[in-house]
Amino acid sequence: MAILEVTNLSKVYGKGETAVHALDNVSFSVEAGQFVAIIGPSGSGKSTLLHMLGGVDRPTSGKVSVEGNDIYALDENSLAIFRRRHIGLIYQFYNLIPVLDVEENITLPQLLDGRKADRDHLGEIIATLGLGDRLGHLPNQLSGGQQQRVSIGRALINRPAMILADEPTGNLDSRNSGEILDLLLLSNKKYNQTLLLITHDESIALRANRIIAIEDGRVARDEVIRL
Amino acid sequence: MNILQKLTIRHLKRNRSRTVITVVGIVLSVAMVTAVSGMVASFQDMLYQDSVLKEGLWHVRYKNVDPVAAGQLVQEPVFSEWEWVETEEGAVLSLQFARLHRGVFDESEAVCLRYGVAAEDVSYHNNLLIAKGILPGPYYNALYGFAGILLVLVALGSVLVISNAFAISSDQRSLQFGLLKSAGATRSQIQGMVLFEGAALAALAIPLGILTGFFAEWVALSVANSIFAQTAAINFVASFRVVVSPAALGVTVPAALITIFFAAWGPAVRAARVSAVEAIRQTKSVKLSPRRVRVSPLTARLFGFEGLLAAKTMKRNRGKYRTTMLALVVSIVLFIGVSSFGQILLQATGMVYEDMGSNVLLTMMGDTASRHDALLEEITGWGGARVYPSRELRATTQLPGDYMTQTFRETFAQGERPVRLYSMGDEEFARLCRQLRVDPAEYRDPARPKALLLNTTGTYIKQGRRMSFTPYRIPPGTWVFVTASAQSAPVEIQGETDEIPIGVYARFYAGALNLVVTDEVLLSLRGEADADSLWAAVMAEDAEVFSREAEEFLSQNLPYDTYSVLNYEEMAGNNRNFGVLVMTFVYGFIAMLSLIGVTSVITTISTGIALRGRELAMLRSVGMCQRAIAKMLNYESLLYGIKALALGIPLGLAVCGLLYKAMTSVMDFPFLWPVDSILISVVAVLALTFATMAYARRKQRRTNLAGALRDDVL
Repeated sequence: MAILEVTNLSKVYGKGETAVHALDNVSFSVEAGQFVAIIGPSGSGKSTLLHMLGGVDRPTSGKVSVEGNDIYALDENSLAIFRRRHIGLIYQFYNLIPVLDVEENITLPQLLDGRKADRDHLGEIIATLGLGDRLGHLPNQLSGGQQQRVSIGRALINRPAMILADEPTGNLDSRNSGEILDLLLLSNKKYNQTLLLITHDESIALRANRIIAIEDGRVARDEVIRL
Repeated sequence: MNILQKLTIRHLKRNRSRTVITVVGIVLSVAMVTAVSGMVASFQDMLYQDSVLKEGLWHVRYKNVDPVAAGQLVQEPVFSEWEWVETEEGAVLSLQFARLHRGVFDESEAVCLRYGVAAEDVSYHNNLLIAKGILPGPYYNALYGFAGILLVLVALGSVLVISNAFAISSDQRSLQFGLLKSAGATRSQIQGMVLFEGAALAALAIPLGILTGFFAEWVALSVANSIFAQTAAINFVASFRVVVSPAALGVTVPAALITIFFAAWGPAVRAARVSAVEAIRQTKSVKLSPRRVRVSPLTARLFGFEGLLAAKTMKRNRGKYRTTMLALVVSIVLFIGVSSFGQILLQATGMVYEDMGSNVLLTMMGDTASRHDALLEEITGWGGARVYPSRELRATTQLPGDYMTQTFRETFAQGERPVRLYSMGDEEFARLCRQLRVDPAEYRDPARPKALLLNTTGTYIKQGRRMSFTPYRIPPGTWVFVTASAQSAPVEIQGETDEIPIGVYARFYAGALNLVVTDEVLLSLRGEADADSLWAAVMAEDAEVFSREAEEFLSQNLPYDTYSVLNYEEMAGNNRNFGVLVMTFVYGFIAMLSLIGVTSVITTISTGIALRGRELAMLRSVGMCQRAIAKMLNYESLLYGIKALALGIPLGLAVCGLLYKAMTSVMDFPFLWPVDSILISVVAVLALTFATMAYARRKQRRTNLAGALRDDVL
């Protein structure tokens, strides 16, 4: 079953002559548990696409369905709640909340939901991420790799339908990059977690099940490299 | 202009609203300093003009000067101008000193010694010397002290607002600074940019501020002049005019420049210290530790996750939060302090309308008692007016100390005491007797004069202490010997009341032995030869109409200047005008102060939120909905407001207490709790913080979420 269905998605910035077609009629679908790498040159529209998929930005036209729900049919509030429960976002610069410690940052989506953290799941994630001795630390007391692990934890905590990662290793050295990618792959295998990842790094793209190449706002290539 | 200065100007233009707020802050501060110092100068000028118009332009006057000596005396170099009037005893010289300073008294004394002018023949133009600040005048120290305190507070507020604005501005520019540094800009160049920003703003705002200040002063003084012109109770001949005092300007401009410099210096140094990489990555934010952002678990339980986040965020941004808090606290303290000062002033100058039970006072002299009674008889009942007549006879008595209560004895001298005998017409006397359950007929016999004692609780201030006391302890049936118009007579005191009858109110003297007798007794004690003086307190339905008609009637029946009609309501109106004037100044000042506070709070809160754009966007991207964000920011406002109030209200009360103490050393009145101003500040502070938050949030909401998230990717 397709967990994600993208139909004729377009995003236009500006109007008239200065209009920029960041996305131009993009359509594809992703099966549950797939690991999709999105590649493309700077300014090709990858990040715009990812934001559309995560319900962060609204498209000019087209449709995005996650688990069969048309997410842009939701009002702003419901969309926020949808993001909190069904989408895990990971950014290049981690985007952690500086005043919250590691544990609070990881459980942020649940705290926002007014729920108690699921202790077992949290313990498992923390163990997997190797953050056991860092729970009381604030983000500025962690290294870049550790901060990115926290943001992965935050993305995973609600067992989202899919994880969207925008160059998660772009700001890390090669050793940390490797570790982060291993963690993402592990979650993909272990929890059958659907994963869409933007990258410039070919070696990372090659570890995906499928590569979608975006050029000038269009899908230039879409190839399954392994099942 | 070099490239860095151009960049600064461009930055100021691009952040137009922040620049405008900063300029407004500086303009207001400069305007207030100008207006306060200008008004003090105008006040002095008015008193000076007034003293010159009333008593002439001279500083010292010598009488009985030998004409030969006088010719040399006026040539003394300490004098610049003289006026010479010949009289039989010698010359009268009115002189002006060449230079007015505190040493003029010594100079004059030396001259007197040299030319043999006796000390009793020397008089100084005291009012003029007071106006010029050479002699200390009543209330002057209070006036200058108050102006001084205001100026210090204004300067303090200004430093806060302006430095806050600079801190925010250089925060916003830190990325720019980083890029410039990486392109090779030195520390001092960056520092210079911030200082240049200050200079540019000062060049624009200081002249504007001075103009605004003079304009505000002109408006206030025009209002004052028109109110003074209508107020009979104020007998100034001169009027206020705007005085441009070079000394005041000479202080204002450098003070403003120094204020701006100091305000810009801190942010400049901080901006220059940030390294290029830190600035570009925007990671220079304060080093946090879990302890620093620790929040009591109760907060989370009470206000939920949003409240927890709000409390933590405030703890992180302590520096910024402190300036906003300080601005709020200073505003609250000033508001409560200044408005209570206005109240105290109103109280102290007796402008609170006192209800005396009557609204018009008639006095008649110059004819016989029976004629006066006849005239009063005619007036009685006009337009439903109630009339309370009274006659008074001043006398003295030797009152044994036993008859006085202890406090009264301590307050007033023993031995010969003044006596006031009052009569109040048959009708009112009969009413008083009925109240006291005595027979009025018993008091009518001039051969056996009997009196009622007015034993009214009095208040008296001695050495700053307020004392309330019942003056007398005289057993009924006591005889006192009263000496009036050279004849003495024994008067028996039979019965007493502690209430002052309406007719007697205007003449009552708390220090005297006050006795009420019948007209018959009073007239016989006075003797037929003495001129009659009849007063009548009138409660008229329309005081204005009654006064006009009574005045006309009396002018037709009594010689000029032997009667008077006093309309209390009109006087009260005049006093109310004066009160309005005082309150106009006070509230005008409060308004300006509050504006300074408000600009500061608005800049800090709104830019604070703007700077948190990425963080808020991030919270939204992980699914924090607008309602929760609103909730969080509202908690922040609430925390701001409550903390500011918790500090500001007690401090404001302390200021009130100090003002009260300062004023009660001069006069006596009860302490007023500034309940109104406290309530107003609570509402205003909460409204202000919430409104600013809401405004900032709406602006935030309009920004594009994806864009805000991308901001970090360089």
